[in-house]
Amino acid sequence: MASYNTIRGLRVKYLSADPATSESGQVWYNSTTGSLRAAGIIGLASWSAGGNLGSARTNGCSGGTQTAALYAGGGSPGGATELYNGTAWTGSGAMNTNRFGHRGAGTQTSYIMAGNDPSTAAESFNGSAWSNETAYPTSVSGIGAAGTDAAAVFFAGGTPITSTFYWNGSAWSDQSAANQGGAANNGPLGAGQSDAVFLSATELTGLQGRTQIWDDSSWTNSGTASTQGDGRSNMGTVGTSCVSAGGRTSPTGYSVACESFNGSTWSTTASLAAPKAAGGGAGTGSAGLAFGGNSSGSPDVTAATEEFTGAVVSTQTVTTS
Amino acid sequence: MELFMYGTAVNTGKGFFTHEDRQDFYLAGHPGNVWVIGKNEKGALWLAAKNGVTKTHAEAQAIVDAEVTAGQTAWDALSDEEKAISNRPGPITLPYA
Repeated sequence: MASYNTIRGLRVKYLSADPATSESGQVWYNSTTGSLRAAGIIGLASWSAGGNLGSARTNGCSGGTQTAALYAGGGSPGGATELYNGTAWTGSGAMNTNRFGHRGAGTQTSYIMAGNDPSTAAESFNGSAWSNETAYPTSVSGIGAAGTDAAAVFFAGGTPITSTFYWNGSAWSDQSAANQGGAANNGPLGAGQSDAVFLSATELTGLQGRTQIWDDSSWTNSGTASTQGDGRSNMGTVGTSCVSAGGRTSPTGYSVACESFNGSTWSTTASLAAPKAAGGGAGTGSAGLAFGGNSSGSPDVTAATEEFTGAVVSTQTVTTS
Repeated sequence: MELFMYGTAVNTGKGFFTHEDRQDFYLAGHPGNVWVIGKNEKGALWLAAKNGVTKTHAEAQAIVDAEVTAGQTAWDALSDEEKAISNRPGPITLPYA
């Protein structure tokens, strides 16, 4: 009979308590309870329908959580902001200037955005109104962002640009450049200023799917996403799980493919119900959102929102009866 | 045995399809409010509950083709600047099995 070590390449760990996090298939012995424990998936990841945007739009900035998200700017109507409460989107204060290809970081009530080539303008949002902020040091579109309104990291962008800047709530400061530049995907990907993921999205440059991780001082190259899309919807953090959804995967096609990232490797997860690209992303790798974006019909933008629920892993005691 | 059924239904937003639906049957949305649905009892009941209209594969494909053609016409009329940030819609072939 095959042993656990033969199957998994690991010995069964002897632990005094169940681990804080576990992955499906992991087995350990809990010395406190005297029981053999195993983690297994009891619920598969999937996407369900969320409330439709009031206006179908693409290339806006996005952020927040699955039950408190925002989407601002992008395609017409110009500069519009919508807020999601987990069920429906409602309109809020418009941006001072409509933008396209900008990105931001923060929450539904405290948010900072920048980018929108050829402008360097930046704006912040307080939950109801936008204010102009200190201009971003570089003119850029397709920028990446993570963090909060008071402590964010903005990086890279089309052209390609490799710059990295911190935002402290009032000013920008230069940081170490990314190893490779290029447009980032839509939606924050990372836990904060010191923990961001740059999933390169630039199409037709050979940079697709390249992943770099920011650790507060430098960028480290990591695993490559297998679906090399442009304009994917991002959500999540490095320490737990990130998800990147949809995207332009060919000059004529939009994708439903989604992948999750565990900090080093991308793996396929549940697909969107309908393909899209250049929409917004928000939430986490276990409770995320993908909304708006381009589609293949006429009009070529969608108002659809999909809500992501990650796989549920449960710990069980192994019995022999 | 046919694996898919086809229909049109307007995505009304929250609850239009649920996590349980996605586990119970294949579901894929396409232009023109066309849905490809796994052909089982739960899939058929879902389409009926959404006030959907059943289509043959050919009918559904024709709707999608018309939407894509309209999308291509609209895209061709865009400025070069606008074209640079979106794709010209390409043909979509609905699965048939």
